[in-house]
Amino acid sequence: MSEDLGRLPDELRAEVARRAGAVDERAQLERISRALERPKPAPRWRWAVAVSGAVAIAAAVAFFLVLRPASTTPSCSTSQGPLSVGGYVIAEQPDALRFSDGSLMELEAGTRARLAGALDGEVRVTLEEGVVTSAIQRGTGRWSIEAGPWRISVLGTRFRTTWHPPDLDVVVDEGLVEVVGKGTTLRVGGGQRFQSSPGDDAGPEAQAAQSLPDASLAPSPPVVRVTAPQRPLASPRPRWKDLATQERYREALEEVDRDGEQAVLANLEAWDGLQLSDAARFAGRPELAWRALNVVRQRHPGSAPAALAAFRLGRTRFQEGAFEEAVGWFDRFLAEAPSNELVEDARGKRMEALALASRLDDARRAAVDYLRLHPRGPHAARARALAATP
Amino acid sequence: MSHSPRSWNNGPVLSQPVSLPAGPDTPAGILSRLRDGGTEGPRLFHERYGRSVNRLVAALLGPDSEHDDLVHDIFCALLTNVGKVRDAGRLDFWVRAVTVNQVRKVLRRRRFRRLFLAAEEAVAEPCVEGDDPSAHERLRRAWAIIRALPTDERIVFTLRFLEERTLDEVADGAGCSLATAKRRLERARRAVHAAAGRDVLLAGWLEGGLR
Repeated sequence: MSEDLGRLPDELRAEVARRAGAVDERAQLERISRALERPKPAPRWRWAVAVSGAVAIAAAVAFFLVLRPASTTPSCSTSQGPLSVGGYVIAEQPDALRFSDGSLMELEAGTRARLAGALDGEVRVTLEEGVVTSAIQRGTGRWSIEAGPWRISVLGTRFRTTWHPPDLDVVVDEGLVEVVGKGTTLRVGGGQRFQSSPGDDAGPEAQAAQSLPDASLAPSPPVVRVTAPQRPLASPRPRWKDLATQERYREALEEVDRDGEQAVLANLEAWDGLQLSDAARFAGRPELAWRALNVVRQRHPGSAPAALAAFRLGRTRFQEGAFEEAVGWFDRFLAEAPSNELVEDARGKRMEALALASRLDDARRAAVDYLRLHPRGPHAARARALAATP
Repeated sequence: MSHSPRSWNNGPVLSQPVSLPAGPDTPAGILSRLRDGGTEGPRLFHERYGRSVNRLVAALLGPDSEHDDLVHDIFCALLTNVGKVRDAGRLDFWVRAVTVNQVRKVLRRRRFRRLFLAAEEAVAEPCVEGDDPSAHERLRRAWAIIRALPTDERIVFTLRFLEERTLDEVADGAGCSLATAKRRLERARRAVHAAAGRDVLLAGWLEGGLR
């Protein structure tokens, strides 16, 4: 039954196997186990839970409508001003996340962190890399730092977190933290140190009660300079690319406009250039598509994307009626990527462009070549007609 | 292409009912451990079904940034409700049915959101072997075609062509009659064939070429 679909199911199946094979099943099981450990109400008390839930909801509504006090979740700021949830901080020089309750997280130079959450009395900071020295006020809700697979829950303390993937180092100066990750939960108290070992799948070890004369907190940095994007970064890659991947081309182009076309083009990776050109073409911005392809050609000569850019430039010029120029681009593509699967299409279009440019002798030769190389190709009928032209 | 029956958990296919010894990693053994409580039951359960559930979700969703979250939710649902399974011989089927139903809910919810709320699709990049750009682009386009199928057709298509299930298993997994499964499958196959045939990059795959 799948004969009609040729190799398409095989290719999709192989892709599925690659993706499924890349899943970290161990981490998955750990996460599931943690979720299942949360206490659940016994079924026979469901009615009571339902009633309690209704009462709680009513109380919450009343609380928020009538009695709501100021938020118990502290607000956060850096030297650059307020930092909202999702805000990303790249500390080129030492800086600090200062919270309204007096808690402080000092970031050493080179540290990258994100305020992942600040809601309902819970503050979560994601440490992508670097060193954070924290002094958390007691009794001000739940605090945690997430570093790769680790989560350090703060129980009112002063401690330093160093995260240089895959190595985690937590030095507790005062109070208590809980380190969770890789199937292990450890409480680390004042004067203790937690270090993960690279590649240590058996789990980390807490090196307890080490003498740490150098673990005291550094004084507040006198100089702060931070580059902090004012809007959250959902992912390291540009947002226009996400939107383009989702085939939301107009929105992708709006995003490019917001970021600044020149800035986007200036930072364009080779493959991104092709994607941007597609997005621009589909969004009705052929001029931007053209510029993106030219950037790929100029900045990444000799690369596979540059060859594909030549093909697309040829196709664009062909559609615009610039047949001579199209021939030139198809020639470049064929020279640079002779084994690419698009060569058949390129030869067909080149042949057509030659004919339309009134270069009939060249077109006939191209037709003969095409028939020799692709006798059953989609342009074969046209090639036979051209080859037979006197 | 023939579709030989394949067991859900990559183990041997049992053509006839047999009495299975209740070893710790058999369905009966796993159910027993789960009833006993503790961490061993969930571990054995995940060990038996982790790979197959991940694979099925990966096939049903395509490249998707919410894959891990969905698999997590599915396992939580499975382990919360596994006590309802009385017949250990039906455990494999039950796991597959729950997985398909959970994914169906997600797909329908997304479709609804796309229609009325302009919500974003959680599309991710396909996983390509090597760095062949055209292979990446082909896979991206192929998955876009699969995503465009109506949810029920997408499910039967996936079960039949990507999971290589027999028609009976497709019908069982999709929760419909055999006749309905065949109709949906044929509609899906035609739609995929037509869409791929119109695509210059994918047309080669239909002809069995472009390796």
